[in-house]
Amino acid sequence: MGLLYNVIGIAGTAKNTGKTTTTNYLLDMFKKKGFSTGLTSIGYDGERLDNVTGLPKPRIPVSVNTTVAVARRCLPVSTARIQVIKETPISTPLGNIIIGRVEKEGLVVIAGPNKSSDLRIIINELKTLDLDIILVDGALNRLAPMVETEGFILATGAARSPDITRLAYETHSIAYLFGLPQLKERLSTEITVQNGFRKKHRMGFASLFTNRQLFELLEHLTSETKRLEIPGVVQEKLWKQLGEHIISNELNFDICVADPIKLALAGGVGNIHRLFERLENYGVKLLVAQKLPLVAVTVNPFFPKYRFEAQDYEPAYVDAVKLVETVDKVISVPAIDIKRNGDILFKALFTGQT
Amino acid sequence: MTEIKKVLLAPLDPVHDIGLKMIRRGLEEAGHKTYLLPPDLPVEEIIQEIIDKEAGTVLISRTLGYGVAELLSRFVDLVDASGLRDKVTLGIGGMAVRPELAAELGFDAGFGPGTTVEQAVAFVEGREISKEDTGVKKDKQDITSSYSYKFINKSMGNKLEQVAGQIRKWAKDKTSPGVKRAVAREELWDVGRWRNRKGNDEFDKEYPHLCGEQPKNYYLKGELHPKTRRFTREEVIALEEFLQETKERIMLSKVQHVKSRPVIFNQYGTGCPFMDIGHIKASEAWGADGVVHFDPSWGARTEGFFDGFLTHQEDGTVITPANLNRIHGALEPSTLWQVRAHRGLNTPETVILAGKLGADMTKINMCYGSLGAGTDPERLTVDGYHAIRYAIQYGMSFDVVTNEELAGVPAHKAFAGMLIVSTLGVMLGGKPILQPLFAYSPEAMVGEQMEGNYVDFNAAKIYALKNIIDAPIWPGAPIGFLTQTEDRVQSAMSTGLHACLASSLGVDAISIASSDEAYSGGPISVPSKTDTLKAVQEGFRFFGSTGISPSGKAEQWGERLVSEIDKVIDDVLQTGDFVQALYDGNLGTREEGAYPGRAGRDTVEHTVT
Repeated sequence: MGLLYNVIGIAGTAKNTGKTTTTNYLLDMFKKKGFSTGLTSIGYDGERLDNVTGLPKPRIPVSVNTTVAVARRCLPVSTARIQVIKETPISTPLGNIIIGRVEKEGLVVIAGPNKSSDLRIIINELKTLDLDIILVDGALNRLAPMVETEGFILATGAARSPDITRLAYETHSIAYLFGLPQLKERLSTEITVQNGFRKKHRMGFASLFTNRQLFELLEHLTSETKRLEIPGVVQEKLWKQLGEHIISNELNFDICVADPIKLALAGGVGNIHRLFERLENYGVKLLVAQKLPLVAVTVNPFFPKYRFEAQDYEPAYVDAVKLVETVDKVISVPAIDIKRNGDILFKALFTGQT
Repeated sequence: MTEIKKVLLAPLDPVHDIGLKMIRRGLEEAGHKTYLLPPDLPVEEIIQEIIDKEAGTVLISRTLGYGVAELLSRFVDLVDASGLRDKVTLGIGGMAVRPELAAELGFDAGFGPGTTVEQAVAFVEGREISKEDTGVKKDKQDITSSYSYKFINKSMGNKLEQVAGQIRKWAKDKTSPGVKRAVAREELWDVGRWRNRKGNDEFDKEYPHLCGEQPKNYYLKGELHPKTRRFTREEVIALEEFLQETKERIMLSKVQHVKSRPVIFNQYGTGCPFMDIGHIKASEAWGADGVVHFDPSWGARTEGFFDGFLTHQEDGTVITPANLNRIHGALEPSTLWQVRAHRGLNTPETVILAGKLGADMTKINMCYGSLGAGTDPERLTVDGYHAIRYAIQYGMSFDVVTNEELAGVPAHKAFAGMLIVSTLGVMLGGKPILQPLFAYSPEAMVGEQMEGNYVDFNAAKIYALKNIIDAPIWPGAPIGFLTQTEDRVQSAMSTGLHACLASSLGVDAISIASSDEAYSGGPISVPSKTDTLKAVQEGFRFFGSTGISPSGKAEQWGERLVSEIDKVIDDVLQTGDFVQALYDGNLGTREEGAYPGRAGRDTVEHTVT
């Protein structure tokens, strides 16, 4: 039984959705299996109290079979003894990133590369060390650097929204976007309209952030259009206008975006999802150039409840069983409450589905 | 000339873009091109601006609040997903922003309160900003170094030297249990061996027999003082964790504005060294330059010290080597540390312990200790004499308090005592610091010198001392004593104003209380510590290099004080013996509230040679 992915990201939809708990669960399971594990983060994790809410957070215990890629200033605040084996030139607000081996188990604070290109370099460094698995711990609701992983676990929960129905729909939408079919071709670096065979118009920009850009693009979309390639990000309201334009002008072509993360970052994933389903009903095909498999979803009933009168946060919970069941029903990958049935997550890493 | 950068300044806050405007000025002066965006633009529009302006750096300002972290990290994600992240560096500034938070949000740097324009420019130009650069740099200050200790009032100086000479001659060949313990601590107790838990055999054997009942029982039977207990293992681990984390992220600040003096001291002494360390770290972060250790009152009446890391259930933190050592280890390198030795049966040994464990200063005054704090005058004169010698040996300056004023002793008598002890200190080669009270003292209440204002009588004290001797002055302790009430705003305001008066009078240091100190009904709180540090800081900011002008009465009272002090010294000379003068009331009578203490009575012996 082999691992399906060698580089796994743990991303969240918000703070306190259970990324650290998921990471800790995996670290522990891999330790029990005797795996050598690489660990880095795209944010800052392992601290005692949350940097924003001030509430206590789970710490990150690491064992001797672990290699970490963390900022220099994480070392003195970690209780694990870490032997630095390599310095990298990648800088962060907490110093340059070092690669280090855990020599004595203990707690670790992890701050790692903060952008995709740096994460790629760090993952490649870790890959040279012959590790069984590399884990990339996420930060807040950040997704962009996860494009460098081979698959990711999404942590969501009441911290994102204590409204279970809304949360389930959003998770369903995310799973939809990450399940879009793949176009096995490289995209152009600019938004490109293909009108008929070999007739390509390059727009001169990669993303759509302004109405002006959208209007320029719409001028080039005709009944001849076969494909629209979008390598960057399109703002949610511009997606909506683009979609309306396609439907009202009865256009029909393929839309290909670089990867599902760029869709998830557009704005409300629920709205994007609804629009795409409408477009699909009109025969428009939606594709991604690079797939990023969603391995599983972990759901956390905890949320920091903001007290307006005191201007601080207090811990609160939603119904855990109802939360897992509701989310599980609407997605094709498993939804897991890590504290109760983490083993399902572990199986998913080996078999893809349960 | 560094490369010209294009910098986008984006205030995400609806109102607070003043920081960015200041940074913009600095950047433009350095020749960079800046674009200040209107406040509160949607993040997508900011990204479009990055593309349009081909900006190489984006500085965002935003106060943290509900949901803001998610908004900021979505911005960073969008920059990344739009393929721009390798072309721009991202900085975030605002209240509550720290490097850890910047790392979590995915920014390249984070700037919290106190960031200078220079630091922001350095970031834009890609120069290294070290942690040290982002905070205020502080060095330990020696407030005694610029003083000659020469008498300005020569005739009074002459008389003071006669009295001091008499004390020196009298005390030289005398000893006491306190002095014997000090000798043992000095000669037989090696701090390095103690730290490495190797034990000091000879000391361990001898010391218990030099102690009173309770410390003796501790060493021989392991019994602790009934009001103390040892910290548990869990508590020690928690303290170490707390300290490590706090030291990692602490950023020092300064209370002073345009003048470097007065140096600001805060006292601690909740009884619990862990809580003290928390208080000390807060004091340091809010700008205190030094901290003063307060021990419990029973410590002054007990012959000998306990050892162990002990917490005390009442006010005052027990002096033990372990307690002092832990507290010393918690201090920032720039923080001055004073351990008071002035008033009890352990005076000389306190000085040695403090010296061996790294203290910078101590506090010694036989007059206050014997007239206001319950120690026998004869005993404390012997102990004080030796304590001064040890302070000199360990390079510690010491202040000479006049807190007997609080009991009702008039200022001129308290000052005469302070000047006698200070003169003895100078004679032995030491660096005493004069500590007059800035207080609404009983003398002033009855005599109505403070009926119209708090300025003139306090100013008179400083004028008087400055006309007598060229020595450092450190009003205390704390300033504004008996003016503060249970109302925290009133209390902090009063401290702030007294501090401004002190600054205006050009003194070297001040001790300030927390705003709940007089009425806490328990341990003082950290917010009330920051109250007064902030109040003083704001006062210094307000007055800058200008000052407060006392009325003509201050000079007049100052002159009167000098002549009254002179008369007191004449009386002491007349008595012919300093210890007798203390008993006789030359330096404060029983009617004035000065009661010669009884602790340690009849324990002074002649040294056998």
